[in-house]
This record gives sequence, C-alpha cells and structure tokens, in this order.
Amino acid sequence: MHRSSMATDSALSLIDLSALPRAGIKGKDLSPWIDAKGYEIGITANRAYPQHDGVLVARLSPAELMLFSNPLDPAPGAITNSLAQTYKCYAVRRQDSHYWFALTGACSPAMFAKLCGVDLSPDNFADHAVAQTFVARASAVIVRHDLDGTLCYYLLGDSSTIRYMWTCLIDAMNEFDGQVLAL
Amino acid sequence: MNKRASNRLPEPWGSVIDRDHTISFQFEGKDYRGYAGDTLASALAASGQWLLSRSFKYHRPRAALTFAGLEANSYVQVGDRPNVLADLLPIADGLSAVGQNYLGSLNRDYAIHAGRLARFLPVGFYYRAFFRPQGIWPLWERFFRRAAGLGKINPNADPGYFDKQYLFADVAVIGGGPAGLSAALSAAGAGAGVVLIEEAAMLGGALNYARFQRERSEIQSLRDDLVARVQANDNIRILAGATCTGWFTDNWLAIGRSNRLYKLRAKYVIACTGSVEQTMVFRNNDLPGVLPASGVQRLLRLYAVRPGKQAVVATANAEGYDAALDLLAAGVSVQAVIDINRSVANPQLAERLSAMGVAVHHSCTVSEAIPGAGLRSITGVVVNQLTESGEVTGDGRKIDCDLLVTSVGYAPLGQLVCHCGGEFIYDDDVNSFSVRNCPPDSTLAGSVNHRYALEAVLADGRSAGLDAARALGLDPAAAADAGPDPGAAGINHPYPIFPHRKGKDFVDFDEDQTVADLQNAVADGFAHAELAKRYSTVGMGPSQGRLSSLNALRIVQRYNGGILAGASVTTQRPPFKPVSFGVLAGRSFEPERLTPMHEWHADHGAVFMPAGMWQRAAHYAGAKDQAAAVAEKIAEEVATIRGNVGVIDVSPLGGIEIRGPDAAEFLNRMYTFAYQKQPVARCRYLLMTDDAGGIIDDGVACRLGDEHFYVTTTTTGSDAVFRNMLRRNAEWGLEIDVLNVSSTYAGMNIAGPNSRQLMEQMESDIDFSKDAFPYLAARQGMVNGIPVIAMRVGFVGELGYELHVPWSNALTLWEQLFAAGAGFDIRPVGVEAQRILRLEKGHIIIGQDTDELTMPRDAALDWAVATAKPYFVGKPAIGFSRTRRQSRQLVGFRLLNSNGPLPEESHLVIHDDAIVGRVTSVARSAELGQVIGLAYVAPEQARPGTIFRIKVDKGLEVAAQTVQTPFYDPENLRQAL
Repeated sequence: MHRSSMATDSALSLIDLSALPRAGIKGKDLSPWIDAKGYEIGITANRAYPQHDGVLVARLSPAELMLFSNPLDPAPGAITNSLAQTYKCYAVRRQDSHYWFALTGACSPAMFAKLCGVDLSPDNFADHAVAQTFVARASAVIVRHDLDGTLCYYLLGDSSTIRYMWTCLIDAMNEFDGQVLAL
Repeated sequence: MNKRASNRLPEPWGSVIDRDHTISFQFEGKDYRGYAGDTLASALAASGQWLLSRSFKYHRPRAALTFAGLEANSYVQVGDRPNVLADLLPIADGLSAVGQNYLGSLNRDYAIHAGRLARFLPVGFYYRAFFRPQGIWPLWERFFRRAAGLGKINPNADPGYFDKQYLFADVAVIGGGPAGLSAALSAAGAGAGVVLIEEAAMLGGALNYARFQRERSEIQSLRDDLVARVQANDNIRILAGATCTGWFTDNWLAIGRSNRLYKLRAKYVIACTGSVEQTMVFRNNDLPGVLPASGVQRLLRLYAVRPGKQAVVATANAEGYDAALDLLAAGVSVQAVIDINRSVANPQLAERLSAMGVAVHHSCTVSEAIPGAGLRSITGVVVNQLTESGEVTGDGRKIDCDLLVTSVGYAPLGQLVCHCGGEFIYDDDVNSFSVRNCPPDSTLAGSVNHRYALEAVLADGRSAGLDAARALGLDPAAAADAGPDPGAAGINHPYPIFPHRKGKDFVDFDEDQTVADLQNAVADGFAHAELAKRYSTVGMGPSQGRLSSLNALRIVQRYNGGILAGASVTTQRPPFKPVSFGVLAGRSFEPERLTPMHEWHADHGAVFMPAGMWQRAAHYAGAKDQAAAVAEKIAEEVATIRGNVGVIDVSPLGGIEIRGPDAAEFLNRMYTFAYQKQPVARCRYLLMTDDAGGIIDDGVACRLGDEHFYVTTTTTGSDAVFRNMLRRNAEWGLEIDVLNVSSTYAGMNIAGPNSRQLMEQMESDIDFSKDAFPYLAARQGMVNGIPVIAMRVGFVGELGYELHVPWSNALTLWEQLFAAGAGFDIRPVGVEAQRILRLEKGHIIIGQDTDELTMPRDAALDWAVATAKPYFVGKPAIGFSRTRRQSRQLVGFRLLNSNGPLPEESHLVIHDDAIVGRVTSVARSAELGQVIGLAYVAPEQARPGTIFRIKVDKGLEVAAQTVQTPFYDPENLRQAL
C-alpha cells in the first residue's frame, strides 16, 4: 500500500490486504523459532508485537502466532521462513485460511460497534490489542495497529466469508461516508 | 397558524416549539398546521383536536394524558406504522396520521354503543361464554379476530432500514431529568465515561415544565445551567430522543432511537427514570378534558397549548396547586381547587390562590365528570364532600368547566429495574410502590426513588453518581449529601379512588376496567393481585399498568381484606415501551460461506442451495423454477459421473489436522474405528459418536505421516467436531496439536470412469495409475504446480480422486481441470446429483439419515466400530445398547410402484397401524430405473424382500420393499477400478 493512499485520520476507509503476505506459527514450543528469527514477542496473549523487520506478530495464544507483513513495505518472503514442521512448532497457511482487511480512520470504532460487541474505542482497545471475537456473527480476529498515527484495525476472518464480510462492512460504513481504498 | 388554531399561547410559553417554522400535516384526512418542535398530539391540541383514539373495549373517546408517551391513549396509525405515540411523534411536513380502533369515524364511532352492553360484559365474561352451544366458537372467533388488536399492519409494507449498534459506558444514566443530570455530572466529574439516555428530545425532564413550588424562572435557570454543564462535559455522551426499553443481566441495556437499536453495556447503571402521575378514579375520569397536572404543565410550558378555558383542579399535593398557578398565568380561569386531603396539602400555595380569587376546598372530591357531546369533552364536574374515612357523601354540586386537572400522586417508573431482578413493593411510608432489589452495580435516583423536593432530587442524583464512581474504583473528591425526602409522604394520596354507583369509574384505560370489574374479580375468587390481573386483564394493555397497577392493587387489597403494605404487583417484563418489529429484527446478520469456485459456478448456470452457512451448487440447470428441466439436468449430471467424468465442489467439507506422537491414539478415542495401525498414505472411514453412543459426524482420516493425520468432517459439523476435539483433549492431555483447516483447503471430487485419464493429463509428481494409487490410498504432491492432498475415496461409487487444495489456488486448479477435461466433455456436478449417486451406493448422510439417537447398529455401521479398543467416546453406551432389543433399523428400500405417489423425507413407515420409522432419503434413480431410498423400519422389516408401507401425502400409503444396499454396483468394483 502506498503511503499516499492512507486515509486521513477522520476518513473511514476499508482496504483489502488479502493479497499481502501473512502466515501463522502454531505448536507447544515456539521459542526456538522465535529465537531464530530474533523476534521479541511477549508472553501475553491477545497482544501484537511489532518486529525489527517490519513484521507484526500477534500472539493469539501461548501456542499460536499470526504474522503480518508491513502493508507499507510488503516484502514477499520476509513473512515466511524455513521451519521444522514438528507438532511442537509448525507453519500455518494463514494466507489461505483468512482474509485480511484494514479499516482506518477515527470512525472505525463506531462503525465496528454496528457489527461487533467488543469495545474497540481507542481508550479501551489500545494500540496492538487483539480481540478474537465475532464480527457480524462470523468469527474474526481484530488487531489494532495504528499506521503513521492513523487509527487502524486489521480484521481477519474465515476466507469463505470474505464476500459476506465485505458486504457487511460496506453497509456499516455508509453512515460514515466510508470509502474503499485500493492497494 | 390555521383556522382551527385557538389554543396556542403567546411567547414565552412553548420552550420546544419554533414559531418561525410552520409545518403542515394531516390527521384523519384533515389539514392541520403546527410548529417545528410540536408533537402530533400537541399540534392537534393547539388546534382543538383532543380526540386521538378510541378505547379497546367500549370504544370511548380518548385523548393524550401525560404528553410524555406513557399511555396507550395517544396511539395513532401513521401510514403503515400502527401504535405510534402521538405525544412523542414530531410533526413533519406531509405527515399523515389517523386514529385507531373505531368503527365509522373517530368522531362518530358506531361501536361506542358497546358501552351500553357493559353490564352484560362483566370481567372475565369471555371465560364463561362463547363455547355453548357446541360448535359456536368458530363463529365467535371470527368476530373476535376482527375486533382484536390495535391499528393495522400492512404485510406488503416496505420494511425500511433498521440496524443495531453496541455502545459502551462506565456509567449509564437512564433519564435526563434533574436527578439524571446531577448524577451524570457527578460521575463524569469523578472521571467516569457516562452515557446519558433521555427519551425526550430535550434534556431537563420535570425542570422543563414543573415549578417545584417556586417561581418558574428560578427552575428554568437551574435547568439551563445543568444542561449547559452536561453538554460541555467531554465525559458525557448524550443520547436524547432514545428510549431504554430493556435492562438485562450484566447491565445490558436495550435502547431504541429512530430506526436503531443500541445495545449498551455499562459497568454501572443509575436509573433516574422518574415517576408517572397516577389517575384519580371517579365516574367518567377517562374523558377528554380530564388531565393530570404534569400533562397540563407539559402542554403549557413545552408546547404553548392552553388545555382549556375553565378549569377545576382536584389535588392531594402541592403539585396540583402549582398547576393551578400555571393555569392562571396562562389565562385559564380556575374555578376551584378541590383538595381531597382532610386539610389543604400546601397552606402557603392555598393562601396564594385564594388571594388570586380561586376557591380552595378541602375534604371533598370530584365524584363525576359531566360529559359533553359524544363523550368527547366535559362540561363540568360534580364535587362531593368526603367522610372522615374518605368516602363520597352528599348529593354533590356541579361546577362548570371544560378542564379537570388531577394531581393525586405518582408511581415510580421502575419497570426497567424490575426487568433485571428489581421488584415493586407497596410502601406505606410513601403511599406508593417502592422499587427494591436493584441489580448489582446499579442504583436509583430522583422520583423513582421517592425524592420529590428539588434539593432532595439533585442531592440523590449527585450521591448516585458518586456511588457509581466509587464502584468503578475512582476516587471522587466530593462527598455524598443525599438523604430521604421528608416531604415524600405528602405527595401520594393513599386511596384516590371514588367509586360511583353508575360505574364508568375507570381504573385501567387500556382495558376499560372499572372499580366494579376488580370487585367482581375478587368476588369470583381471584383475590390475589396476580390472579385478579390475569382474570380482569387490568394492567395487561399496552401501557403495561403504568397508570393502573397502583390503584388496582389498592382496590384488590381493600376488597379481599389483604394488607397493602408489602404487597407486590406482577412481574414487569421488557420491553418497557412498545418496540417496532423493524427495530427488533433490523439488520440481522446471517453469515454466508462461499467456496473459491462460487463465481465460476454462478457463471456456469449453478443454482445454489444452503448447506448450513454454505451456499452450494445444487445443479447447473440455470433456473430452479422449471422442474422438468432441472430434473433432466440433474439426471445428466448423474450420468456424467456414471459414464464419463465430472467434478463436484466439496470445499464445504470440514478439515482438521492432528499432529503429534499421540495423534493415532487421539483418533482412536475420538472415533469408533481403529487408527493405530492405519498405514501412512492410506485413508480410513471415520465415525464419531457422542457419550450416549449417538452418531454425530463422519468423514475420512488420511494419514499423512506417523504423527500427522488430516481428517475431513461433514459440512455442517466441522466447527462442532473441532470444538469437541479441543474439549476432549483438554481432559486427556495427549501430546497432539489440533488445527482447523476447513478454509485452508478447498476440495474437488473428480469422479467417473474417465477421471484417471483426466488426472494423468495434468502435470503432476503423483502417479495416478491404478497400481500406484489404489482405492483408499492418499498422496501428497503437486498438480500443475499446486500442492494437493489427493485421496481415492468412493462416496459416489465410481473411480475418483478427491483433491484438497490450498484455498487461494483452488480456482486456478479447478479451471485447469476443466481445460484439461474439455476433450472428455467434463461437466460440473451439483449436490442434487451427488445425493442420488451416494444413495445408489447406500451411503448415508449424517444428520439426514441419522439423528442424535441413531447408534451405529441402527444405521448398519457396526463394521465401523472397533469394539476391541479399550475406549472411544460412546463405547460404554454402545456396549450397553447391545444388551437391549433394537427398536429400529436403517435399510434400503425400493418402491413397488415407481409411477405412483412418491414418498418424501420424514414420511412415516407403518407396521400394524403403528409408526415404526420414517423415510430419510428418497430419489428416482435413472440408473436403476426405480425409486429407491433409505428408511428406518422395525427390525423385523429389515430382512431383504420384506414389504412395508409408507404413509405419504393426503393419507395415502405406498408399498416398499426392503433391499440390500448398495443398490448400485453391489460388488464395489467400479470405485476400485
């Protein structure tokens, strides 16, 4: 995504980032992989941790991570890594299983409130907070990851519901004059 | 203003109307005009049109009372919307409304003569009539159905756009009156985030119209100051014009505003919901022209409407005197103040009124309002002396008036609190209900808490706000200063009920219930308040007893000899105010799952059908309303698989990966079959039962490595199976990791005798030859550069390969398959054809051919149960069931007459005139030339060749014969080609 296409803080925008690299790591002992990558990832679940290479790592549970490339500078391959496929630590095809949307702008929490029962207002849902919840009755992961000072939420959900969720978001955004931005 | 305008007062009366903006509207087909800010009821009142509706039972004329949307009197029909509260509905240009519940016209209602039959329609009459002579009820029912209900629903109305939104708050304050404003300010001042909910468009509540026994200008200044401070406070969000209709567990508030339902979660709730002025009971107390003091004051102060020219005020408290002063200020002649107390309620105000020439009488009451023409107004009242015990005595004297104002006390509007565990208990100290048992993290403030004096109300609000802040862990600097209101006892008269020998002394306006009706309910044995309510229907109308429950309880307890103190009323249930169906239903979310090939299917004529949340291609006939063409297309798709090669999109199948050294042991416990010795690169059938031994899912286990299985589930069962696995292993603690990959992989089943040739045309490192890739083998590899898991399974009974492909690559591979198969005339095949194909093989569908009581033995699946295993979920129950006689068996059948009526799923199997089973699947098989199906039958009917009967539509029966399955290719040679 080009910096010029970022929404201003007041404008509500929806961007489909599904084409950008993302991945998952799962298993009971992820520390060797984390150490090998040189990542700093806290033990607190439902938090995201920005990394030195621009990757954002969301810890969904002690045994599961979700990795996002940097939308402003996506480097194919940076997200993936050679990984020993043991049951204690293996890669998960999040590129296939989940769509990836970004919603930016100050109206995002109010828009989400039409679809989701979690309070996503900036005061109550800090930057890099993660919610594993339901949006429009479909299971979803929400990660707050402000970009250049603009309020931004990643929304991820089951790939099979991408069209449904897109339609719900467009409908919910109408009230706020939301716009769709291209990558 | 228009020609009819006669009641509008000059400025400064009318704080909410904008005299610079005139609005035109219609009521009952007549043109009216009002001002911006007017409600429909106030604008009509300004034009002299008081009558809004007719009562439910006797069709008596009814006008708005409170002008606060608290009673059903003001229900009108606006276009397709019935039961709109005219005293809350803002007028708008082009608005057109009509009254409700009349026969003829609103002014001349022929059904009003029903009132003359009142003596023949005593309380509970409908429980004792209409059922004799035998067979008469249907005639009565037709009559009652026509008479029942208020307003008209247009089933073809445009549903409009309604939606929902969550809100979150530290503190929710319900009610924007003096207590609510005070509570919001103190909670917000301590740092809490507050949402302030107010039903009216304007904050202030009683501060907008009442006097609180002071000069009005003083109250107005206080109001303006409080509202300005609230509006300037960044910690307070104001939700005006919003009605809180329900309060549920954990402080979940349902709030309706316009076309939106807000779902507010608050850490703490302060109910400042106020109180509602109660009616005084006497003859003809329901007629237009009889108004409560608060309604009169709202009309004067908010809307600049003069409610009459000559008034009498009947009161038991200082508020009545306040209203008299307001009327005088508005130029209304106050003929008399009738104080029903033994001595005047407020000597200072009484003296002031006397000095202004108003006669003040105490120890007397209004016993009757004298009706004007058509009962649409009053022309005077009859005033009688009261005995020491409060009973009417003497002949009375008439006082001419066109307005009677009553002020006899209040009932707290605590219904919302009662939704969440609170109770209304009659409290002798205040001669009214008290609200008890507030839910956790909530409190009351203001008149709902029996604080009526202004200082007491404000202090109570402040104190509640501070309590909320402390409950949130905040540390407010201020200290609470609230205490009880010593004057509260003098506000509510203990028994403002003056029965009249001629009746029409209404207790409940919604249901036209009189004092005599309640007396009769008690006399009929329904003496408890709960029973009397149900028998008489008092309090059961749309007003939900807000104006009637208090008096009804007083009457019932008096006539049944019960003690009033501590008595309670029936449960209050949401919604507090009527909620439109649109708000209840609006913007529902029904998630829909689509496969990666969905658009391709649509482009190739697919007609979709739901399968759980999925939309699956049912067939490719292009339209679903041409039955013959559809049947022909489905048959063509079946033939494609049987004779050539077709592809079925099986992406909705669930997929779960299990990794770890205990993976095989885990499957052994989760499923009935045995997996420890399953070779790598082989598939095996999966059957899952619950603790009761009932079949709940099936699929295929594909062993990808010693410690790695990929299992499929049914389309609708994947989430439940995944949850079940996580829960079970939380108990077992096996060394495994479970991953739901249902939307990681899409699936496509390439089936038919030419499927191998097709796959061999694809560029692949997988050897698809018969010897290298036998039946029930599994392979991982690349096809046209796309990674796949390939399985040879035979759900449709032909040579075939099921490819599970990464979601993002699936459409590419699908299109490549069709490109490669063009030479074979490859076709897509839908679910309908697949169902026929699998039925011909006798394969069951979980959930269609089974229910949760179906055990493996019932479905002839004992072969998939490894009884030698030490344990699997359901094993004890299955073992126990085998010691019992089997009650049913799933069998294949064929119809003896394939040209007769066709059974459908769930049609009954009859044996000796008893129901012994049901049909679960049925289809006409072109391949076999007969109608075949699966059905549960009695065990003695399970022997092949047995003839049994199926009851079909219209009571007909058809004969069927038990057949050994598979129907097609019984040797299973074709799928192993």
